[in-house]
Amino acid sequence: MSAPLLEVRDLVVEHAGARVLDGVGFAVPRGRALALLGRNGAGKSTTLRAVMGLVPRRRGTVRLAGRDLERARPFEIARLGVGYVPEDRRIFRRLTVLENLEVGRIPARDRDNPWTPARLFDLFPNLRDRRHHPGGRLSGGEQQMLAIARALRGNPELLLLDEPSEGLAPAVVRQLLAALRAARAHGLTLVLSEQNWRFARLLAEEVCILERGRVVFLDRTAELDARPDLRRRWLAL
Amino acid sequence: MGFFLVQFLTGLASASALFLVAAGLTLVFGVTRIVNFAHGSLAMLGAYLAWALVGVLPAGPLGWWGGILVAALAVALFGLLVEVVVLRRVYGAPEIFQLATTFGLALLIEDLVRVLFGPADRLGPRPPGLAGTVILLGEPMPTYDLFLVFVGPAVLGLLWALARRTRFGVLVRAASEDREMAAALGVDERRLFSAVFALGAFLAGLGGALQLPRETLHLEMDLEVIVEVFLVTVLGGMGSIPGAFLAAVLIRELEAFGILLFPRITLVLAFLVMAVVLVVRPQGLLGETETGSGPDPRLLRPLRPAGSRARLATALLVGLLVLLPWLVPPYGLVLATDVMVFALYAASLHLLLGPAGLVSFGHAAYFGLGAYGAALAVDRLGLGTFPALALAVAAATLGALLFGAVARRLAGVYFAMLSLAFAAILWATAVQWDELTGGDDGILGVWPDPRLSPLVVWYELVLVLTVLALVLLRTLIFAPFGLALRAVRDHPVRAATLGLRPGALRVAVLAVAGALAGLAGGLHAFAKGSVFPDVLHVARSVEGLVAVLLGGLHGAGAGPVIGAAVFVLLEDWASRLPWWRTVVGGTILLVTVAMPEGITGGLARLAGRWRRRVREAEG
Repeated sequence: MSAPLLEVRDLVVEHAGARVLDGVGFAVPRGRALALLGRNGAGKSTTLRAVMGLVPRRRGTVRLAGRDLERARPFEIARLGVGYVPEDRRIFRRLTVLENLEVGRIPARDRDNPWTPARLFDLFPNLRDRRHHPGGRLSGGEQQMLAIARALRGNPELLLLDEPSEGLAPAVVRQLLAALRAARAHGLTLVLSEQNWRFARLLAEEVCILERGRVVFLDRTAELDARPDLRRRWLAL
Repeated sequence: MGFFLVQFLTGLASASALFLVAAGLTLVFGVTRIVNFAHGSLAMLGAYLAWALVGVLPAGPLGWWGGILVAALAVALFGLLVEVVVLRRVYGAPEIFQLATTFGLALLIEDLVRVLFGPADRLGPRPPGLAGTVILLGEPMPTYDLFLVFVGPAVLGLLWALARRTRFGVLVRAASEDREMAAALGVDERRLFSAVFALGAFLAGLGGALQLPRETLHLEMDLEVIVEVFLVTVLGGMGSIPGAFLAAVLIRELEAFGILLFPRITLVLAFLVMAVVLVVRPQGLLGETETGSGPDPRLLRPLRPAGSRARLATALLVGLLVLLPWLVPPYGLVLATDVMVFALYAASLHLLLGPAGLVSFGHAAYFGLGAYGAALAVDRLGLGTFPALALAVAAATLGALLFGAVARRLAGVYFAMLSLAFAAILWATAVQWDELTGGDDGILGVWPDPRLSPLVVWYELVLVLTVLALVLLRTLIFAPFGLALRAVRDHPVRAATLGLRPGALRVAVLAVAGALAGLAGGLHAFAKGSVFPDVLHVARSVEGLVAVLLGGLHGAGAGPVIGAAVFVLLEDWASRLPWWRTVVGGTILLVTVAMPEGITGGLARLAGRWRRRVREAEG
């Protein structure tokens, strides 16, 4: 069996002396989707940021298709095929929608049926009409779509999504779900952090629950679906 | 009519060169958030290189234009080198270290230009073909100036196209908004920063080189240019290239016509216009938002009152200083007086930089106002020593209140740049207004009263006043006033919701710091027996800054005193060398790049590392 696309092992991250991640580990095979669940402050966002190389790792390894990312800087990780959609979207507010997509383009990865703006606008039709608008003028839902489209523009193999459904209207969430499923049909691998269990279970086959920087549950989504007691214990507010 | 047209066009011509240099500064700032103090030095380097190249290359249009272009490209290459070797190491540092680092660079570049091209003034030829004059409505105008009128808008257009129409421009704009996100999308921000810095240096070099036929080149150009460029970028809005163009035109036209009305105070006029604009729009004409960096985490550590051991050590040191006249030869006493005056000056600046978090780059303004206040009190009013010192303090306080009224709302780098400009304008006034200040000849015969003038008496008086002032400063820092300052520094919004008034606190702390710097200036005047414009010079501001950085920003008193002592002794030794700029500049680079906590903090860190290693070695 080939190596998983993403393998995280014994990841430790410290912030101001406190352990934010304390030995997180999981693996995601190519083409699959894994949801990181857990309460606020459990370490979901930090895990994604550590994979992206945006926070220093104290210990542990992150491998992408068997390749150790220890010394890689964020831009190199992105060029190796990792797309990142941060929690607060971080759209370039003074750049137009098309310019935001251009920043996401990675020339070396722009081949073999790439995610061109035209294809991305098919995925998110709302963005087409607003392609010349500055990012700062978009609604929250449109910004989330743009953040995902911008990451896809680099034609990643792995997409990291930090709380994609947060603060969005149900209709927008349904639209996102459809778009992400369509992207997965092209072979995209997903790791998403979520507080919204109902959104996560519709998208991911596997779940990993974090609590205080540790993995407390790692199994198929169906297993957690059958255990409301565990969901209450680890996810209920 | 023709006269006004030519005056107007001449204003536009000199605005073009100013705009090129300012565009480079604002472009680099937009992306790297570094205010490059050495940017004026790059322009000077470009001008001198152009002078040398045009002299060497064969006469004719190709030689002239080739020389200008090669000079600008050489400056770009030089900028690239500087970025990779030095600046890359301070991107994460607090802005005061970045400013100090680039000032160190400015000193080094000045020495470099002196070595390469010599100290004499230089004047370059006009380009072949543009050497004549044209007659506009009956008035003559140099053809070259007419050509320059079009250069500014052309470069503005090219930069606009670069920003909007190329991938490079899109990436630059993205990185200026959010560099981390750009990196997470695959943008190599290091290479992007290097490229932007090289482009900024190219623009500075070109702006300097194009001035070749219009201005005499001299070694003070770097400061002259940087002050004007700071005025332009603050007025136009940091990071805004169209804003820089607008502001350059505004300032140059103001000068072109202001000189007809008030020939002496054109710079003051520019400052007044800027003051009005900034009170209405603190972010400048076309600036998007105020730029302030977050508080420096190194400053966020709470301050603790001194322990009993530190108190004992301080008491012993003061006792030793009281007995110093009987321990050292007279020259040592002169030097010790210098150290104390300078320590007082540095401590007053530390109050702004440390507890108040205000990066002042023009602290010499208050020192100089104090020095001139005391000198004029003696020279013109015939007052005694103590009333003269009181007047020194009053003059400096008044200056600080005036500056505070303009700068109370300005954030971070805007405050720093405006404070530099304020001091530079006072300096220019002191040089130009020779009826009052004696101009470059200064004011002589500023001696203390006869009973105070023996060296030992004067030394003890300075010691008493300095110690009292330092105790006052320390008490203030730990008093509710100091707590409020630190609260506003660390979180202005939260502090405001608690009922603190950031603007009023700023004005108040400026007044206190200004008053003490004024006292230092007054003491300096009496110690030297004379006052010259150099008490207001940018170099004086930066000396204070260097002393504070040497001593460390953190803390509440000891740092600046140690820093001042090290600095005065270092300068006393180095000023006898022809290379003092290189020595001082190199020291600044060393401290900001290798020991950002200052000498005391840096030594503590090294000691800690050593202790840890010993412990690990022992098992």
